[in-house]
This record gives sequence, structure tokens and C-alpha cells, in this order.
Amino acid sequence: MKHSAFGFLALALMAAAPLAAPLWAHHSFAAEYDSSKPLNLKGAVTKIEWQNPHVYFYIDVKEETGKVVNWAFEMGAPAVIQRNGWTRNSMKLGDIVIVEGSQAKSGKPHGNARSVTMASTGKKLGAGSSEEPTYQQQ
Amino acid sequence: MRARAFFRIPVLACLIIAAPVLAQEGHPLVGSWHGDRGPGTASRTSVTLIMDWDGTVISGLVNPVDEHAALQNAKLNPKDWTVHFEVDLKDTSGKAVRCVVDGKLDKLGSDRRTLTGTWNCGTTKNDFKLTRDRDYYHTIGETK
Repeated sequence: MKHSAFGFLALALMAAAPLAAPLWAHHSFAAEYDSSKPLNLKGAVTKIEWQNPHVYFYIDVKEETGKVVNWAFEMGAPAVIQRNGWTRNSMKLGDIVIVEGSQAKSGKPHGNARSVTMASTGKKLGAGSSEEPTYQQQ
Repeated sequence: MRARAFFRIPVLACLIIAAPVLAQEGHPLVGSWHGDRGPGTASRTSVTLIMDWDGTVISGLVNPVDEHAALQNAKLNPKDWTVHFEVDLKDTSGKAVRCVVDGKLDKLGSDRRTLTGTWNCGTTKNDFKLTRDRDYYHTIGETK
């Protein structure tokens, strides 16, 4: 009985571990991003993932060569960016935005957003970046 | 009695942790898709497609970064997983042209499912292949 109970517990933990991976996706800015690689990109929003521990959004950026690259940007936690003035309707799929932030150390099209400006209105919102403690709505 | 509790706690923990993960799959077309279209392997044009479903209608956008064209008459046939939509784009001379797109969904069980078929704009006949983008924690920063 004792053996089967421990076996069951081990199996349960093994099954839960991959499913729980997103819950451990929290990390420090310095671990993943390089503040010496600033970004200022304009593109169209293709996807928004409003979830903990970080909100992610993706934009299509057209390079000078005409090639379109899909960039992933990390923002703060939903509760943090809501305090900066965000709502779920602040940014919609297809919106043109200008993103300021820092690129990932990996060099991939992935960054940490410091602010997002809506091209149509000029409204700029802080993205709750872990690079700075706060970034107020302008 | 203690043995029962010993079994129940890990099962409950698994269910609680797994629930938000398993709840993310919905309509098979919903999401952003990247790929290309063209008349052959030598000449391809990048395509971004964003699709959504409100419970009744499939809506979406093609190439939001520069064309921002809305899908029209979008339909999914769940019997054979074929997809149809139309979209107004511009041809090489800048003239508006209606594109009729017919495709088929494959790898339905994968979050990287594919949509392939024909993408015909006026008299120009293209094929296309699109792959659905994954969620961030699988492929952060992946180039599409």
C-alpha cells in the first residue's frame, strides 16, 4: 500500500510538471533581456496573450528588405499593466503600434516592452516592464 | 482514511494546475497564422492571417502590417475541415483584386496546425501554406 501510494504521487507530479510550466515562466529582466539593445519598432498586432505571469503580444514588423518578422513582446503582469491604464480593449488585433523596449539576449525577435504607443491615436501606455519599477501613463 | 486523502490531494492539485492549460483550445481557426503564397517554390509572398470566431461568424485580417484586408464569406466545413474565404487585396500594379482562398486544415490536434490550399487572385493562381502560431511559452521569439 505504501509503495503504491508513493508511486501514485510520483506519477501525479510527473503529469503535473509539464502542465505547470507556464506558472514558472516568471524571471528577472536581466536574466533574459539586454538593456544595451534598445528597440523601437512599429508593427501590426497579430496576437495578444493576456495571462500571468506576463502579458505577451506579437507584432508583424516589415523590414527594409520587405521581409515580415513576427516579434514577441513581454509586458508586466495583467494587474501591473492595468494600473498603468491598460484594459483588455487597449490594443486589438491588427492595430498598428510603436513599441519601445529592449531585445532578448538570445538575439531572437523577442523583447521586453517598456512602452506601447497606439499609432492611430498617439496614446502611449507603460508596459509594466520589469526593467523599471514604474512607468506612468502619458 | 488517511490513504484516501493521500490520493485525493495530488489528483486535485493536478486538476487545478491543468485546468487553465487545457482550457486554451477553442475553434480550430482562431489565432494568428504565418506562411506564404505564390505560383511556385521560387516566388513566394509572406502572408499573415488572423482569424477569430464569435460563436457564429469567422472574421479576420490578412497582412495587417500593410494591407489590413478583412476576410469576407469565411466558412469552415467541419465534415472535411475545409476552409473558404475571400479577401480584397491589391495586385502588383496596385489595382484592387478579389482573392478566393480555399484550403484544408491539417494536424488538427496540434497547436501548430496547418492550412494549405489555393489562393487565387483574379486570373493569378497561387498555392499557400500557413501554420498557426504557438503560445508564447513554447516558442518565445520564434521567427515565423
